[in-house]
Amino acid sequence: MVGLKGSQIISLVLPAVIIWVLLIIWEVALQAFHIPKWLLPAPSEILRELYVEREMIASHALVTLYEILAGFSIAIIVGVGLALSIAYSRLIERSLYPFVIASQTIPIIAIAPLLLIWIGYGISPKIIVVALVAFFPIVVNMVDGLKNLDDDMVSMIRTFGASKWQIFCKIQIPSSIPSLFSGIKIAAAVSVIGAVIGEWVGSSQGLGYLMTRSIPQFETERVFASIFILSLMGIMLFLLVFLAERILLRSYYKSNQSSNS
Amino acid sequence: MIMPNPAKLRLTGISKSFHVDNQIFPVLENIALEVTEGQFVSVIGPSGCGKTTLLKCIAGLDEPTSGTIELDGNVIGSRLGLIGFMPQKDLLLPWRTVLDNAMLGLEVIGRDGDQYRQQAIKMMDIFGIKEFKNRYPDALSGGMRQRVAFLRTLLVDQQLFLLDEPFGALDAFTRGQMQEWLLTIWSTFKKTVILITHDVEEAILLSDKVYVLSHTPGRVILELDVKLDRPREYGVLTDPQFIDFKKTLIDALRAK
Repeated sequence: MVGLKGSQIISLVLPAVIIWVLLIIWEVALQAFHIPKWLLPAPSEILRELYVEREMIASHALVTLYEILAGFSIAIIVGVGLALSIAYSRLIERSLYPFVIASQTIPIIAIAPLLLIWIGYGISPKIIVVALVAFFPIVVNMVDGLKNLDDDMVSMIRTFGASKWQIFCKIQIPSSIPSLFSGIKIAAAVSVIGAVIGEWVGSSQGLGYLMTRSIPQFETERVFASIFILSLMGIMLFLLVFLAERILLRSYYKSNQSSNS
Repeated sequence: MIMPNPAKLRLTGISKSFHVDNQIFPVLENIALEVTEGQFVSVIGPSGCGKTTLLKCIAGLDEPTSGTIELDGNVIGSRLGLIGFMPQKDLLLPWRTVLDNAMLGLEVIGRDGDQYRQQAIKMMDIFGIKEFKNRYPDALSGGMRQRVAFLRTLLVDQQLFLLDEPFGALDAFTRGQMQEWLLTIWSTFKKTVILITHDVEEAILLSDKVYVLSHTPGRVILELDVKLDRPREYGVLTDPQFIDFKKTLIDALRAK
């Protein structure tokens, strides 16, 4: 890789080194203290489980991945739509924003079983749970971005005779995009949690279901294998958003850097 | 009966005060000011004399507490969109290329067709910024950014241009270059301009007429016609007449 600075190399190498050291300590300590597999499986046993049961785990993982992606997409669409209307109209803000906030004060673990009763046992209540936990950070961050605008920029465009709508489209929306991405990044992380909660309260497939089924049977290595896949999904989703942000907002970041220097 | 040509802009008895915590702070007091078509007028005064407030009132971003603002002899309800306003900061939008930044004003008034873009590119050539047209503002120096901001205002071709210390943030050398550049641009396009500045030399170099404002609340304490031949060049700074004007203005600013 050309152009990598010393600090960048450290930030790539350091986490990898730490993970390897921790894994080795974990592995060695378990064998040294004779800890049984059902209490805490060794990394090698988790890896073995992932390999031996790869087809079964993959089929559950695909269901969870589908729930996450569907719920996450809905959250982005609904979140951006809500944020735009809340920031544009004070009437909508007054009537909708309290409900947006109230929706987060109700514990999701209480809503999830109700969704089962109302919608059923299938995949859609899980998608709704994901969307429900993921839309909130998107709305809040984007509304902040839309409202936190440079008064001088607004004055400047008003002297051209710009309407409220033109100010909204040409100044407010573009300047809110970095905040929108902060919200989407948080949403990416919580949508994985949402999918697991949704499956936890009642399902017949998915990694959350696999975990609830494995715990009573003390198949701890299978629980760990599921956790491993789930965090991998979360990290990949986060990286995807991060990359999209870097590509889409290249000009924003360049100008931030130059104003900082 | 022959009516005299109405001034492009006439301010009569403009006062402005702000209310903060039940207290009244007068900022401008009984300002009278007149600019004729094609004239370059400067308003100079100590910092905090309400110069920017005055410009915002003229532009229609703010309204005076009392007094009238006439444009071509008419009092107009909303002046927004009629008067070009060039703020201190260049306020280029970081997410737009230089060309798209320059097009912003034209876009607002619905003139964003291809012929307008071509015209904008032609003007960028005159402004010396054509090579940057597809770059983002962060790639440009302060002086170049100001030129883009000028072009953005100029392309809309409003009736009057207000410049609020456009060179205040630039270093002395770039400022000199930009003043010279503005002289050329102004003599090419013959716009009516009001420039706010605290730089005495800049005011004399560029203007046909200079108004001196007092400390807060701002009042007009001197109105000076700068009778120097045009076209002017930077060399005029050492002209004895120029030095006389400079002395008059500095005395007025010191006298309060």
